[in-house]
Amino acid sequence: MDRRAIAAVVAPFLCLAALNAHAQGGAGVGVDPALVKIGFFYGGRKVTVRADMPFFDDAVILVTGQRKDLTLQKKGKRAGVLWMNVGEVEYKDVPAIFIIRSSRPLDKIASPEELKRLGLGYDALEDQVTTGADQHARDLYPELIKLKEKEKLFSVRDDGVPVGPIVSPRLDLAYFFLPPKAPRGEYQVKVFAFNDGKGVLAGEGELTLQFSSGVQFIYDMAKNRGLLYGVLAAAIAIVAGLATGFIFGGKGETH
Amino acid sequence: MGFHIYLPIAGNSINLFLLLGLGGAVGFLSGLFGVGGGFLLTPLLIMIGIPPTVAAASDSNQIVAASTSGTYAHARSGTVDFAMGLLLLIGGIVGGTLGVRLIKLLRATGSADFVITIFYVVMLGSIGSYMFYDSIRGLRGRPEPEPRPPTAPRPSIYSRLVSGLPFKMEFKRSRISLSAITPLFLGALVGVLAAIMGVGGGFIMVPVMVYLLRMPMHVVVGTSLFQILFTCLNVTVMQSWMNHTVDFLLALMLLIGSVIGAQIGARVSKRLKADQLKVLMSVIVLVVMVKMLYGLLAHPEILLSYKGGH
Repeated sequence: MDRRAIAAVVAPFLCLAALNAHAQGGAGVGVDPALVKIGFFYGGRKVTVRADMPFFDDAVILVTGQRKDLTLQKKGKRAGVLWMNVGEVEYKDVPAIFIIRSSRPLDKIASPEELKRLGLGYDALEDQVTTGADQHARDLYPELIKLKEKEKLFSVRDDGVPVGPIVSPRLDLAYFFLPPKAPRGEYQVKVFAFNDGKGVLAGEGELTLQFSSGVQFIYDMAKNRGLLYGVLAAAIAIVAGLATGFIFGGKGETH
Repeated sequence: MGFHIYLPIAGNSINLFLLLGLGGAVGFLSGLFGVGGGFLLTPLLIMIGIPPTVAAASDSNQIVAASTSGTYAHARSGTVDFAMGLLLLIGGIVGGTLGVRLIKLLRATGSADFVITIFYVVMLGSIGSYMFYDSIRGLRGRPEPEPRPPTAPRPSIYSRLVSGLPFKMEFKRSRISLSAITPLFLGALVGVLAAIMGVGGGFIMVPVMVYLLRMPMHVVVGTSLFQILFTCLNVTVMQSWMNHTVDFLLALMLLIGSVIGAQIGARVSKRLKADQLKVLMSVIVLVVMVKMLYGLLAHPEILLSYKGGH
């Protein structure tokens, strides 16, 4: 076999091995900003992801948040015609957010098995959240996705990620939008590199979402001093109502 | 992202002008008809991404402001019957407490949602239809009464029952005389319904005052607002204390809009005839009923929802 042919065959494996070693060596992913403060005028935040990735055909970014069990109401028909809540379904370890950005549609990047192995895509998530769940929960899994997508907490899109190779460690790789409904907490940002349909974790980063001091003050008061908070809220509402009534005045005539 | 405000208890950020506009529109209706507007605003808030429990509780807080503003405007006009309002309020508190126990019982049997929804549609449908029919008749001019027979017509069972009750009181503002038991009982009845339906009850109280207490429409609006003010005051404090579901920033944005809207509504109310007010109110009640009915019959967009809310 010709030397060039051997190089062509071996090169992708070498690249993959290099990437793997790179990932295992703890290659970081730059997340900018790494700390997002929720102030009074917060309306979500665009987050840029930077990574050091020498060679790849495709890249996929996965953003997930804290996981917790979720109980939802399911709708069904009563009396044959009326749609209403007819029971509950439970899902396990549902992430606060599940955002995927990729250089191409996921099914064009890798096989379903490979995507599942890496935890990428809604099919992979289904296995995670419906483990031990009843058949109703499994049947209604697409509805869970619809509900979360409506809130912009879940999204899988093939935009915002350039196709490699990327050579500079500080180059902007991609971006995603942190939705306003994302709860406070720690978020994991993972970058996967794909070559010939095989993916490796190229790096991981973290993002923290927390309240600003003003928002935190109101939140703490509502949660820890509910009675005082309620009395103040009611008092402010009465003063506002009276003040407006006073400002607007009125001559006292009736119709 | 511009002009958004973050609501810490709701855990979401919403466009500032949308909240001001919603508050203004509902405040206007509140001042115009003497209803709190909870039956309209809570579903709208849920629609724009506020969790149901937070929407219902914060709505009560903003209704405190709107009804204070409206009551103030009506009190200056001399159109609040405080005595009647107080009796309805006492009845409402007793009925509300009974209603809360009843709903707990229904929840335990698993049929609460079904009962509440059916209740809503039937109540809204019957109240709205009757008000619409009656006000249209009034606007067209009621037909001349036929020549009276030599003997006086037999009063209805309801009239006979009410006139036979003890503890008669004069309600000067309303220009009526009836037993204190009547408003106490009707207030309790509305309180039970309001607790079951999870609303302030203004849209049930107004027809009750008009048709069962026979109060003049312009006094009904002010008196209803007076009663709603105290009901919602209680709900705001209790929800904040027990469930921590009042989002003050949400309520603040809504109330800025609603107090202004309530003042405008109260002024417009004075320029409209009683039957015009009733026909508008009935149309709104019927529109809400049709929307609810559609929601019951049409295939839902998503077959899962979060727990809580009405």
